[in-house]
Amino acid sequence: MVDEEKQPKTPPKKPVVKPKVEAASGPVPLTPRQEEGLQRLKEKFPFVERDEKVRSSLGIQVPPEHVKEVLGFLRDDPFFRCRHLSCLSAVDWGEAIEVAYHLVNIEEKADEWAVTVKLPYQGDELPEVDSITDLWPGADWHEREAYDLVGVRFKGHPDLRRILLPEGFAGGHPLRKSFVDRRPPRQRLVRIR
Amino acid sequence: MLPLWLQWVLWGILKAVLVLLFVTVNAIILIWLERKVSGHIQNRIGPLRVGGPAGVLQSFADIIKLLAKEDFFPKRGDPWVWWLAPSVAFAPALMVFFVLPIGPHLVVQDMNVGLLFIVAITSFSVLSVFMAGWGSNDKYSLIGAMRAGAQLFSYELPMVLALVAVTLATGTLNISEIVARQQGMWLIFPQFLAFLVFYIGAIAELNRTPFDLGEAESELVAGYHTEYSGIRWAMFMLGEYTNLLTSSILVSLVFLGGWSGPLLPGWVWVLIKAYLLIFVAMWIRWTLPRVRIDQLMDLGWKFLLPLSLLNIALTGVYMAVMA
Amino acid sequence: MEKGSEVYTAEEAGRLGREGITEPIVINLGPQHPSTHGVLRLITTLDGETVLKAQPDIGYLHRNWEKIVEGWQYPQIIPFADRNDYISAIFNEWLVCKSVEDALGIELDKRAEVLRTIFAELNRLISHQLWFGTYAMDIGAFTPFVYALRDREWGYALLEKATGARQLYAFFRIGGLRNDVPDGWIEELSQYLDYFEKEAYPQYVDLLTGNEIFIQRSEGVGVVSRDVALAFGATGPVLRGSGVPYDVRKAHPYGVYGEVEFEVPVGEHGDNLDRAMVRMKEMLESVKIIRQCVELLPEEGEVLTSRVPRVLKLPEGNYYTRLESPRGEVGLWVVSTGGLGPYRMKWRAPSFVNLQLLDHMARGEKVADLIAALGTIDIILGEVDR
Repeated sequence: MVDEEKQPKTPPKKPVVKPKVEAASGPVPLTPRQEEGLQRLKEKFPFVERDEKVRSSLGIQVPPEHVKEVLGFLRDDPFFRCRHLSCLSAVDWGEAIEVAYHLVNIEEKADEWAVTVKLPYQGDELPEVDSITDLWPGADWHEREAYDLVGVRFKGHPDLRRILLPEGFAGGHPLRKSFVDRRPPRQRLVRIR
Repeated sequence: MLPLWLQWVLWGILKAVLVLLFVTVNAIILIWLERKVSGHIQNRIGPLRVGGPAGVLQSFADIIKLLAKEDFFPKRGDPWVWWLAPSVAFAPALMVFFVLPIGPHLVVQDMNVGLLFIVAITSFSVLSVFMAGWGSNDKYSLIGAMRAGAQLFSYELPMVLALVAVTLATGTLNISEIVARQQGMWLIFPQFLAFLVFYIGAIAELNRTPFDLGEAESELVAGYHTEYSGIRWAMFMLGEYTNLLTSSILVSLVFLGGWSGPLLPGWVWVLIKAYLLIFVAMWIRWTLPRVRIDQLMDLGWKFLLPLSLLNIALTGVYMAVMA
Repeated sequence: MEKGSEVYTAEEAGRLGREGITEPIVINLGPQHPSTHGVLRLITTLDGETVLKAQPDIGYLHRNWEKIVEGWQYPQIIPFADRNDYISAIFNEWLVCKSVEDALGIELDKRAEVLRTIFAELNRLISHQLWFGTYAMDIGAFTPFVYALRDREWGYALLEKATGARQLYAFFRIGGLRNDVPDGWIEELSQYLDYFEKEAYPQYVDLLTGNEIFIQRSEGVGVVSRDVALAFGATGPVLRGSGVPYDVRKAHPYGVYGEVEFEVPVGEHGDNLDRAMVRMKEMLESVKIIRQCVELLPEEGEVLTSRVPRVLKLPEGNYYTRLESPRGEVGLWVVSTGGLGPYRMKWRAPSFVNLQLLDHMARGEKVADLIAALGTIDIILGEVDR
C-alpha cells in the first residue's frame, strides 16, 4: 500500500496565468556581434544574405557554388574562427533541398553561425553541392548521412556511400517527402485508443 | 596368483585411474573455487542455489550442461587437427602427474629426471593451442593461437632457467630429492628470484589474466577455442585447471618445502600449499587488467630472462664459494 | 569484398614507416563481438597484431528516428527521444524540451531548473560509471565492471524513485518536470553522493586507474591531437582529453549551470589515459554540481510551469539547440512550418561524430589498443544509428 506521506508533493495551486508566449512573428533581432559578423561577410562576399528562417542564431544564405569558400572563410577568419562544425543536415522542401551547416566558435567566443544553402531540384538527378570534407574531415559521416537519408550528392567526397541504410537499399532516400514505404503492411498488435 | 605381466598391467591401470580421479576431483573443486573466489572478490556471493552447501554442486551442473551441448564443428575446419586438439591439451597435463609426488612415496613413478620430464611434457601445450587455432579455420582462433604460441614459447625459457638454478642449488633432478634437501630451509628463501620468475612464468603459461592474451575475451572473442563448444571446450578447461594444479603443486614442492610441515600428513601439506598458490593466482586474475602483446614479450624477454640468468650466475658463484 | 575494405596499399605502408609487410588480413570485429558495445561492426585490416585500418560499419540499429518523429507533436517526441542515448536518457528529454522552450521563450520555475540540473548530473555520473566498467572490461579487467554496476544501481534506484522508470524516464515536460521529487529523496541523494565520493571512487582508483598495468596500457595510445579533434568535430571527453576546454555547460549555460561552480577537466596529450582521466574527474565534478544544486534548491515552486500554451506550435523557421551529454555535444535541429509537430528533425549524436576518430586513433596500434580506443570514445549504438 502506498503511504500517503510518500506521495510526491503537489505544488500549491496558483491562479492560472494566461499563457504569455509571444507569437514571435517576424525576424529575430540581431545582437551587435551578429550584425558585425553579417556586415563583415557581406563586404567579403556580396552575394550572401541573411536567412531569416534561422531563428536560433544568425543564418547566412549562400548560393550553392560558393558554399565552400564561405565556410572556409568562417573557419579561418580571425573574427569568426569557427573551428567546430557542429552539425550538417539537409531538409527536403519539395521544390528544393536545403543544406544547413552549424558552426561554432569554441575557442574564444562561444557564438554560433548557421549557413544554409538551397539546392533546387534538377529533374531526377540528386542535387549537388561541394563537399567540405577537406575543410573538416569530420564532415565525412555527416555528408554520407545526408546523402543516404535525404539524397544530396556531395561533390568531391572521398567515399560517398550509404552509411545507416544497407549498401544495396533500393527504396530511395527516406527523408524525402516523396518517399514511399514499400514494405508490406504489418498487422498492428496494439489496439489504438 | 596372476601372471606377472597381468599384475603390471592391472597396477598400471589402477594407477592411471587413481591419477585421473585425483585430477578430475581437483578440477571440479577448482571450477567451484574459481567461481566462489571471483564472486567474493567482485562483491558477489558466487554460486549458491545449484545445490549443496555454498553451491558446491555447481561444477556438476556445469559438466552436465557441457555434456548436453551440441558438438559443433566449423564447416571449413580441418577435422583431424580440430578433433585432436582438446585431447592434446589435456593429455600432457595428465602425464605430468605420473612423476609429480603428492606426498612422501605417493608418486606413480619416482623418476630420476622428474624435473626434466615435467619441463619436456609441459612444452606440449603449445601444440594443442596451435592445433586448435589452425583447425578451427577462424581468424580469431588463428590470432589467438599465434599469440598464445609466442607467449608459451617466451615464458618457457625463463621458467626452465629458473629450474636450472634450483638444480644447481640442490644437485638433483629428482623431485622427491629436491623436497628432501629442503628440510632445513625452504628453497624460496635462497632462490627467491627463481621463485619469482617461475611463478610469473607459470601464470603466463596458464593463460590467465593478466597474461590471458591467447583467449583475450574483449579482443578475440575467446581466442583459440572460439569455435569449440560442449565437451571439447570442457577438455580445454579441464586441461587449463589441471595445469594450474600441476604448476601450483610443482611450485610448492620445489620452492615451498613440499610435504614438510608439522602434525598433518605430508600430502595434506602439499595440497594446502598448492591451494594457497592457486588462490593467489585467482586473486591476480580477478584484479588486474590484461597486458598488451608487446608488453608481454618485453616482460618475458627483457626482464624475466635476464633475471633468471642472473640468478643462475649468483647461484653458481655462491656454490663455488661455499665449495 | 566491400568497397573501402580493400587491403593496405604500399603508400599507406610507407606512411607507417614499415617496410616488408606481411600479408594483411581483414577481420570483422562485430556485429557479434563481446566488446563492440552493441551492434557495431569494425572492418579491420591487420598486419599481424598491428591495425592498418579500422572502418566502422554502422546502421544495425537504424530505425530512422528522424523520419518517425516527422509530424508527431512535440510532447509525443520526448519518450521516443529517450531511446536514442539509452544510457543517459535525461539528456535526450532535456534537449527536446529545451529546443521547444527556447523557441517559445518559456521560462521555468527555479525549482524545476535546479531539479533538472540535478537529474542531468546524476545521470551523467551513472553514465560515466558504466563507462568505467566497460572500459575496464575492454582492457581485460572484469572486476571493476561489477563494482561500477553496483554503484550505478543505487543511482538508478534514485532516479526510479523520482521518475518511476529505471532507464527511460519520459520525465521531463515542456515547461518543467512531470512531478516533484518524493519526500526524503534529496537526503538519499546526499547519502549516495557521500558514499560515492568516500567509498566508491577511491575503490575505482585503487582497482583500475591507479594500476600500473592500466597506465601502461593507456598511456600514449590512440593519440588524438588538438587540431585533429577539432577538425573531426569531436566533443565531450574526447575533445577535452585533447586539451580543448570546450563544454556547452560553460560556453552556453543552461539549467542552473551558470550559477554553480565547476571545472572542466582537460587532458594534455589526447591519449586513452587522458580521455579516461577526464571522465574520472568529471564524475567528481558532477558530484560537486549536485551538491551545489541541493543548496540552491528552493523549498517551494512549481515544477511544471503553468505558462505553457495548451497547443504547442513553433513559429515557422528552424532552430538548433545543443547541450552537453556525457558523450559530448548533443544537438537537435528542428525545422518547423508552424504546425503542431516538426517538419524535420535532425539529431546530432555525439557518439556518431566521435566514432569517426576511431580509425585515426587505431592506425598503427595493436588490436588490443583498438578495443581500448573504442572504449574511450564511449559510444552508444542507439545514438550512433538512431
